This record gives sequence, structure tokens and C-alpha cells, in this order.
Amino acid sequence: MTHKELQELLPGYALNALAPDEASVLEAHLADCVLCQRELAALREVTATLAQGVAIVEPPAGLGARILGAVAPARLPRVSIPRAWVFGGAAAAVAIFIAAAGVSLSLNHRVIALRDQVAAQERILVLLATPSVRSVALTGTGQASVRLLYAPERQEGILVAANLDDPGEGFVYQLWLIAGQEPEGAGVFRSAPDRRPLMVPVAADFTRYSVIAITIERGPLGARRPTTPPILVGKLKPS
Amino acid sequence: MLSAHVGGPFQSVEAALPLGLRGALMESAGERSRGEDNLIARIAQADTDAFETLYQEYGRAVYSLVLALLRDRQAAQEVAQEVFLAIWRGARDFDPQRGNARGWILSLAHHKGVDAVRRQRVRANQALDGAEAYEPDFSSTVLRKVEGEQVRRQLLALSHEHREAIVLAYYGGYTQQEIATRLGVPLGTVKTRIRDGLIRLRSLLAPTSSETAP
Repeated sequence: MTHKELQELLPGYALNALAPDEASVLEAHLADCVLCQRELAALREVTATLAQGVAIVEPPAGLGARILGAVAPARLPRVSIPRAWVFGGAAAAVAIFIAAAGVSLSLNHRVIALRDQVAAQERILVLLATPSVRSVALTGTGQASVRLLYAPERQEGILVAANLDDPGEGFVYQLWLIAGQEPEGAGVFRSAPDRRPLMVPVAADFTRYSVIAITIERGPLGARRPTTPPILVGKLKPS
Repeated sequence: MLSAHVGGPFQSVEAALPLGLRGALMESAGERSRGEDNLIARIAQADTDAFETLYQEYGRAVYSLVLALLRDRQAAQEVAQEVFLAIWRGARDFDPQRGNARGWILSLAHHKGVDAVRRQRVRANQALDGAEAYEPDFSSTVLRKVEGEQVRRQLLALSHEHREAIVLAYYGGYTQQEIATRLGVPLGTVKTRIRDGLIRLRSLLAPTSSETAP
């Protein structure tokens, strides 16, 4: 085809209305025809305006997280030891909230946070000293190291994560325990500043579940059911 | 700060407001365009923060466009995801010389949406045996997808033939050949209508595009 004939295909191409064979011939020509490139750019300004003609609909909340999760395996969070205390009681919850909001803690809150931090560390030590303690690595996308330590007969465990990315503004990490096909929410947590290590206590009858998984969900409460593919998954050993 | 003056003693400021505001908008449109080109360059370097920003800017526009084409929320989500993954993978090939980021993104969204509509249609036609062909005025059915007042007004300024061809192609997802068949006119006629219609549409948009040029 001559340049002129190819140029005449541009309007149809801008509307994605060419037959596939015409489109591929034109694409080959576009690769090195500056004139046609410019004309296409101008036509696309018109078609971009047509795109504004449609009814504006808010995408579902999980879509962004799913898309980001698909490309950003490296985006996992990090939380400092006490601040990640999500289930550790009201004082810890206050500490997390304040830390997340970037507000400096009052002295009293600092004391409470430190006390919770020590208590959390002691809990890890107790758990590690339990003869039946199990350790499961969660694997998946990203550079975070995440591990669940748990003692089945005590029905308690702690998720330890290091080098976890921020899940993004408005998003949280959500833990799931899965028995059969049915994931059950086991709490949400945020990352800590500076990718610091984080602990999340998990209380559950671990013998009931076969899989632990983490997804990114809309914060602050997470979702009833996972809305995004898990970024990290670990297999619980049958007891 | 501007709004503090409105209704206050500075009536002259209020009078000058539209113009000043317009100046600010013009400037920001040019800057935004360059900023978005830069965003694509960062995405090409696998910058996930830039990608997130791009999603915040375009997630709604892309989803809305593919939803209008597909009329199926589940399918629209899948296609929107496909579009953003194509942006992520294709950012390296983006060349600002061939048009700005906005034109590229929306064209990509339209392309993926139209592909999905055609797949949908192939399945539907197998089931319905071409029942759609009996629709009396299918271009006006398609025109119902146009809800934006401004775009609708610009389209209505075109001749019926030009509007019909453009609306069927862009919002209906029909190829030029399909349009020719459905309207019972030669393919060359459809091509001419589409070309002339887009040129006319562009001249209708011209005042806006020269204002926003850097």
C-alpha cells in the first residue's frame, strides 16, 4: 500500500474499527512514518474526548488493589514490633492508630506501647519455648519474609513479618485461615514505617485449617471475603 | 483563597474570577499532560508508586469506558485489569511524540474494550443467530451510551451520517466493514464518513485544544 492509502486507514484505526489485517499493516507503517504518527496523535485527542461521553461509574473497591497486587509483588509492608499489635487490646490499637496517623504519642501512650511491646516479645519467647511450636513460611510475591509461629494445642500463634511494603493508602493486609474452600478472616494489619519487622498475634484452632494466606484489602476493616488474589500463602502442617 | 472574595466587598475580583480560574486550568492541563508522560516513563522503570498514581488518575475513566462498551460489570473489571497490565508492560514502548499519555491510555482501554465486545458478540450471535440485525435503528440504541452532555452536544452537531458512523464504531465497537454491511452502504462510504466526521469533530473541539496546548 502507498503512504496515502495507509494514511487513509488512520481514522478507522483511531476508532479501533479496522479489520485485523488492515490494522497490522498500518501498525508496521506507523513504526517509521512520523507524519502518520502525528496524525494519529491528533485523531486520538478526538477519540479521547469521545471516551468522556460515557457514564462515569466508580470501579469496585477491590479492583485497584487487584491490579496493583498483580504488578507489584514487591509491595509488601513492614511494621515495628509493638505497633503492629492489632489484636493485642485497646491500648495497642490506640498506639497503632496514632502511629499510623503520624501523630507523636503522649508519654503515657508511649509507656503503654512499650509495655505492650515487651509483652508481645515475651509472648514470642513463650511460644518459641513451647515444645510443639511449628513454623510455617508464607511465600509468594515480594521480598518480605513472613512466617507464622504457632502452637496448635495452645491455639495461639504469631505472624512475624519483615521487610513488608506499605499496602498503599487506604489499604490493609488481611489474614485468612482457610479450611476447605472457605477463607475465614483472621484480622487485618498495617505495615510499620521503614519496613520494620512486625508481629501480628493470631488466635485460632489451627488444627481446623490447612492454609494461611494474606491479601491486600480496603482498609480499615478489610473484607468479608478475599477480593484479591493472595500475595502470600503458607501451608499449615496437619497435626 | 479565591472563594473568600466571592460575595465579599471585592466585586471586581469576583468579576475577574472566571478568567483567572480559566488561566489556572489551562496551565494545569498542560502541566498535567507533561506530568502524565513522566508518570509513564516512571512506570517503564517498574515504579509501582507511579503506577498506583496512574490508576488513581485513570481507574475510573478506564473502567467507565469498558463498562459502557461491555455492559457487564464482571467483564468490565477483567478488561480494566487487562488495560492496566498492558500499560504496565507497554510503558516502555510509549512514545510521547505519537500523542500524549491520556490519548494512549484511553485508546488502549477502547481497544481492549472493543476486542472484548467482539468476543462477546461472537458468542451472542452464535446463540441468537443474528437477532440483533433486526433491530430497527441500532445507531440510536448505541447513542444512548453517550451520557456526557458536552460530548453529546458535539456529536449532535455532526450530520446524521457522520454521527451514525462514529457512534457505531466508537461506542458500538463495530468495524467499518460491519457498519457498511449493517447500513447497506459501500465500505468506502463508511470510511469517508468516519474520516470526515472525525475531522469535523476535531474542529468542534479545536477551541479547547488550542487553549490547553502548552
